[in-house]
Amino acid sequence: MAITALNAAATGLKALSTRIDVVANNLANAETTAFKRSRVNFEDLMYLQLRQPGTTNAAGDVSPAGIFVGLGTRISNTQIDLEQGSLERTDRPLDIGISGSGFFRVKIMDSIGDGTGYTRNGNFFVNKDGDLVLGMGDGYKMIPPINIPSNSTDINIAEDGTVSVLRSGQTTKTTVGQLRITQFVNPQGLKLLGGSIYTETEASGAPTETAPGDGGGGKTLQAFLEASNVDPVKELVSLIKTQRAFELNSQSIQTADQALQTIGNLRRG
Amino acid sequence: MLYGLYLSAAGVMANSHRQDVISNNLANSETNGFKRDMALFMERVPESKSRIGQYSDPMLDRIGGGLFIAPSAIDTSAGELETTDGPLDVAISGEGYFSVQSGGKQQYTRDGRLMVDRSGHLIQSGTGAKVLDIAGKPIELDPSRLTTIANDGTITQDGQPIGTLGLFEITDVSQIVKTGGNLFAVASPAAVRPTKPEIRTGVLERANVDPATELASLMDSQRQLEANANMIRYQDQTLGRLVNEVGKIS
Repeated sequence: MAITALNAAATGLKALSTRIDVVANNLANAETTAFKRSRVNFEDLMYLQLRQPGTTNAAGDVSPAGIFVGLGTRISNTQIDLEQGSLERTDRPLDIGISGSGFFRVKIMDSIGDGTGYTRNGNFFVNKDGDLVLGMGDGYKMIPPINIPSNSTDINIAEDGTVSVLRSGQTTKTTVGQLRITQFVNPQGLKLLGGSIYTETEASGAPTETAPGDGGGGKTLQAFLEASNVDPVKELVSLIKTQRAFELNSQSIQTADQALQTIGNLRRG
Repeated sequence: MLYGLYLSAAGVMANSHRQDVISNNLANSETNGFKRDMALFMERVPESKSRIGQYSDPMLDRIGGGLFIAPSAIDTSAGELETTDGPLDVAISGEGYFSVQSGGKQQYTRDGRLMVDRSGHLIQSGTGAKVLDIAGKPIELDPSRLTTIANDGTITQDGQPIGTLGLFEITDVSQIVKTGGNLFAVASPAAVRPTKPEIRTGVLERANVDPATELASLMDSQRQLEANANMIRYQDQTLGRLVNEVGKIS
């Protein structure tokens, strides 16, 4: 009866309002370094089988098809769009952009997973001990750690991740370490932790670490930061579509409500 | 007298069913690859006709049997194509369905949001079901290499062909049973045959739900429901008069 319609429309409203949430978050992060937009995917729910196909009626005819009523929609997943954001030149020596699909590995709080996080936000700083740390959160350290000596005057990061410094009083550069790039079989299966940090999950598969440049993980570009890959036009179009679809579902609710009212008032004429 | 009451009740129920179907269509208006259901009605065969040779009331022989819900039909027409630029978003530009393996069974879908899972298999992102090639086998990829899907369904990685996306034609649409998750099961395997893939990448197929049509039939079903409900009320009034006034002794 009309209750099914009411519920189906309610699932539509719920799923669509979640998409408004996700689009709003995408737009809010349109200027966040290395932010990856999420896309909401919908799927239809189970079907109520009012009549199975192949039943026989009183005259002996076999019905060729059954009667199925869908119970609405739901969100199957929110898919991270890992498309590369544009790389913007910052002229800051410790800004490192990844041109490729890999991630930097950083040490995060031990209480989260195995204490390892992954990020594409290469906005690095040097902390008081000389360690290369991320510029957000609690200053997550790079894995493997890279230490910049205190008397360094010039830091150079090559496309293959080699970090070399020029120490005061010296004329040749010293290599202090090499950045590593981590890749996943299914990076869309990573867990979003916020603060540009992703963590490994069952779905993402195990991380594989390579030196930048080979293995397809990408090159490290010094003095570049990756911009957010949010396309405002796409998001706004999605917002408009969502709003209209939301209104359509509210029409279903109104109609189902009127039907129930009509049925409810049958006895009072 | 009472017979008419049941015909009107059947009219209310059938139109309420139609609203259920329309609501589901509208709820899925943003579901990729969704195919709208059509709520169909049919004239119900009266008792006198369906029980041939058996006793029936001659009074009822000339009265119709009212309304009945006909088997569901799925409108398999193509939805609009929407550009998403996703490298593993594919849409079928002609006829046919992708085949996936879900719960040990082969199922079909027009939802081309594909992903690579942790084992490197090409899967459908919504259900996680493995996408099958033309021979009905799962497709395995090397995720570290660049994957491209050509318009004829050929999957290449760094220029080397890996496999071909399977595309299947369902010759008897009435065999389609929707199982949720954008998947269709096909009751008899004989109704399925492989077809030449004709796909586009970076594009997704939207639901084939047209809001204007759905809203118009929603309004129509609402008025028909009210008309039938009014008929119930009138017949109830007539019945009431019959019971309370005709036999009244003043």
